[in-house]
Amino acid sequence: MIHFRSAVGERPIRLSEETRRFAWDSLSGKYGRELNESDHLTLRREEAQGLSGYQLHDLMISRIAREAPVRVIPGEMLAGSATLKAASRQIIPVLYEDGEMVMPAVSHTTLGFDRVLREGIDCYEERVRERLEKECTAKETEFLHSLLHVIEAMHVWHGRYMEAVKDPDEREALKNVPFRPARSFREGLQSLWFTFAFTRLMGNWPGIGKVDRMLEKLYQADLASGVITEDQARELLAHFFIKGCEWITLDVCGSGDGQHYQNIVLAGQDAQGNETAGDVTRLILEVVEELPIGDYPIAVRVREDSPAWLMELVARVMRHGSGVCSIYNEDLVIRSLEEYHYPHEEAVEFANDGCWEVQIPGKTRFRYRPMDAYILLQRDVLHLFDSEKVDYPSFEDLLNACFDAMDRDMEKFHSLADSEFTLDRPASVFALLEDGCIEKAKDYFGGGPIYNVLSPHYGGLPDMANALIAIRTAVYEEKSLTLAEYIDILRRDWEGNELLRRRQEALKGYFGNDSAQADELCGRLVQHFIDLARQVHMRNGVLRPPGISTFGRQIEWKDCRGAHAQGKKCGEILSGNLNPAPGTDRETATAIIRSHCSVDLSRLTCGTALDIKLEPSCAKGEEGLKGIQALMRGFLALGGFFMQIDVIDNAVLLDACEHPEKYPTLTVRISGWSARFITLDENWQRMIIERTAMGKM
Amino acid sequence: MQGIITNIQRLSLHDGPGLRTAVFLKGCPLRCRWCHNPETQLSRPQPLVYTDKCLGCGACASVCPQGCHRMEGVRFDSTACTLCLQCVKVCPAGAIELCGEMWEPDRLAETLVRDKPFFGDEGGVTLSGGEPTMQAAFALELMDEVKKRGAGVAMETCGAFAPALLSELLSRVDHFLWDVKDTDPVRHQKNTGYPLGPILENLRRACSEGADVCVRGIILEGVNAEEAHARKLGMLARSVGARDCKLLSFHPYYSAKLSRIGRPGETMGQEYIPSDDTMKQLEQVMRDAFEG
Repeated sequence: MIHFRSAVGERPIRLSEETRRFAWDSLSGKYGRELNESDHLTLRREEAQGLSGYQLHDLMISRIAREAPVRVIPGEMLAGSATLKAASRQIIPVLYEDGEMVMPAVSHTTLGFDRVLREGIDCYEERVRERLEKECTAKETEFLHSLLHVIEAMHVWHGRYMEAVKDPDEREALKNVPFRPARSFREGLQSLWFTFAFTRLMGNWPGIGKVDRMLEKLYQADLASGVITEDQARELLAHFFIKGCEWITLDVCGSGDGQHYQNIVLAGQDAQGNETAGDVTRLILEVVEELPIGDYPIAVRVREDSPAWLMELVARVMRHGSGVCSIYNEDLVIRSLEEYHYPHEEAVEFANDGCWEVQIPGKTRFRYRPMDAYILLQRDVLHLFDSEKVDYPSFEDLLNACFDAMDRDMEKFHSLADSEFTLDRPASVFALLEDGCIEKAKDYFGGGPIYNVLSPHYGGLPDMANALIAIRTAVYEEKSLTLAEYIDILRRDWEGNELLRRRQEALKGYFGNDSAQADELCGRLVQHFIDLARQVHMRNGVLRPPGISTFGRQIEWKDCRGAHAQGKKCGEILSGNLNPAPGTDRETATAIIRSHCSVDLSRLTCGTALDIKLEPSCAKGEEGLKGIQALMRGFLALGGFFMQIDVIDNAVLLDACEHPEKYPTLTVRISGWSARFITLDENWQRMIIERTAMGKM
Repeated sequence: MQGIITNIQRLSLHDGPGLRTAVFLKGCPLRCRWCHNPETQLSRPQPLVYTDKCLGCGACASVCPQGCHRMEGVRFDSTACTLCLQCVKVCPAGAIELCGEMWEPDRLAETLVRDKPFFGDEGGVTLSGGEPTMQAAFALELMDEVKKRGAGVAMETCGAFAPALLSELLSRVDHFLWDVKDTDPVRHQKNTGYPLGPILENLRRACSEGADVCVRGIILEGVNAEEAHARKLGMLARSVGARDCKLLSFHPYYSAKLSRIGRPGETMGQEYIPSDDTMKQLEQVMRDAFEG
């Protein structure tokens, strides 16, 4: 009997033992490790000589379709497998003989898989051929032919699976899709998986999108006609999730083995305001309530009047841990998109880039630019890294200097965004599934998609607020030392000033404690950033919706930053996303949520995330279930954007650091993705252990 | 008017229905041997010593007129402490905190309802302690202020209060969490220093006048982990007309608090923790008796 770990007790069992065994094997890295035998295909340099970018690209795609190993696992219900390991490094898995990459692949966009299910790839081929009949430049013609080569490769790969698959039901489900519209629930799921696996095999990491909406009608029709039972549908969905784990290797790799931006979005309202959550939504959540599969990460769109069953089921999934589920406050997100001039019928379709950054799926070319706001304070305002003398007579002068530094930084960002399309390179696999590319005959990076986004993402804003509070207290209120003296102490990393360091560290009013002064200050910094980002809505075809994130960058930033006015020494890991810095949040999760939501997030169109880690004792039993729902309810009422709650015992994490062999499948939420804890490197493990508040109840 | 509290605990799930914010009022007429919140027993402010923050500078020892602080061995013994609080004032490291903060009812209520967006239909504010009725006038006004702000009120009580207070409480408290420390009058007197009779009399009256009461009993191995006690508790809850009854398991989590308040030797150890099996068995006995 397979036993899956839970933070709070037993998980329900609804799936067959065979499916549970398949999940265990996949989560334990069995199929991922098989890929060590098939890392990539090889290209001789002379083969590439004289080829254009598209010719080279198409040659590789075609070769992968013909030569990548076909894998059919006994008992699996869905055909297709991304069997070249190099694809899991987000490159086209064909390398030169000396191991050098030929071409990178693409990520951070949810492709239009829903349209593939509805129309079938044959329809795409027709659209390409129709477009070829219209006037095209040579470059456009070459791009459109590249799309046809992608479709051809898909046929080749499909044909190989039709030969290899022996199970009659699996063959039946595969033979029609993804080339023709899906006619049944199983065909729909097979079409989705096959298309997704194909794009992955070619090295891309797309988000998947609103799976429940894609499948609900097909499921209801099958259910009504007696083609499928609820249990059978749940088994199939479980196989879809298990197949999504096929890249898990349990190898240590920095940010973990699950960061492939394959987010799924569930529930939420349609253009008429009707709730779309249905039986498929429920079945998917039941699958991950039973199986601790955090990849795909699931983001559920909820609002204050979401169905009670949905809120309870999300809480039921969350409390087992593994960081499977997170929530969007969809009312706020939709309002924010509309305010950013997206039409209502587009805004309600929002999903994400595969992580949590909001976008319109299947229509968006997306990239974000990570920037450290906090370094501006240290480098440009306080001059910690040079010997320039600074003097700000009042706190407002100091704050204005911060705003000035942000102004200059964001000016640079906008100039950079103006030349975003110079990045043009072949990405036909992605472009095929992005609305706009065929019609405009323009590739994914060349402005083809309907929306082209470069989103500025600031991190470190809570740290900037905290440092300013520490300085305000000591220099401008208590006047216990001058700013010059303070800066001098920081330049020496607090050496000889341990008492003062501790006092500053122990100040109670830092961000994350529902403290009016910290929240107000952080709010001012955030609003200034939003205003700067939104000074330019669209220029040179590029939209620039602001977001606040670090994901895990607070780890790499720690070595670039100096000592911290808030009583931390050089090298400390500070805040992630729009969270409190580790150790400064002395109140409970509700205080963290209040602080986070005190910042007006309604114009932060690309979004931000709040990460809450709860101790298992807070999530147990009916009381724990109610507690998690109460946290979600408050988050929505207070105007949060996106929240991920993980339930995990720090003692377990510490033990897993010591004895990784005991915890092969222990999964934790990182940011927009989850990963096996033992595959995180030491810095990332530390970040998770020290994360936010521990949500004491 | 001001009252004295030791702590505000947000996101509390075990102090009444739903998600709640609990406030701990200082002062208690009982002296339970196993008291989980020993820092709330005294009605006056007192020092709390966090040895992990101590820099070893000796400032507290040099200023203490009673010799309560030492730099080795037992660092803080409050037996002779007169609550002069000099040590709190001189500690440069913040290692000695003041336990007991004065609040006005309206300002406190404002803080307690900060989490109202999380309370939902069931949750609210819980007055705990100590025994909230030790500061009766303050507690009643605080309840009024909380209700004025649209949140429900629960109260954790040991039931030891003047009978005249009951009608005031009944008009304000939505849920009583009534801790009956023991059903055996002799053991009750011995282990809490307070007679059981008046507590039960208050309980009977409260229930007969329509109070929503959950009767709770704490179980300690070697003290009262007996079926007879569990049965009596269930029957008591049933006979008075309580809405529910529950058993709580003893745990020496509070030993760290005892060290901080300078009474480290008084901890009751692990041997008093009832096993899970014992708790399950006693809960069943109690429930059978309660449900008849």
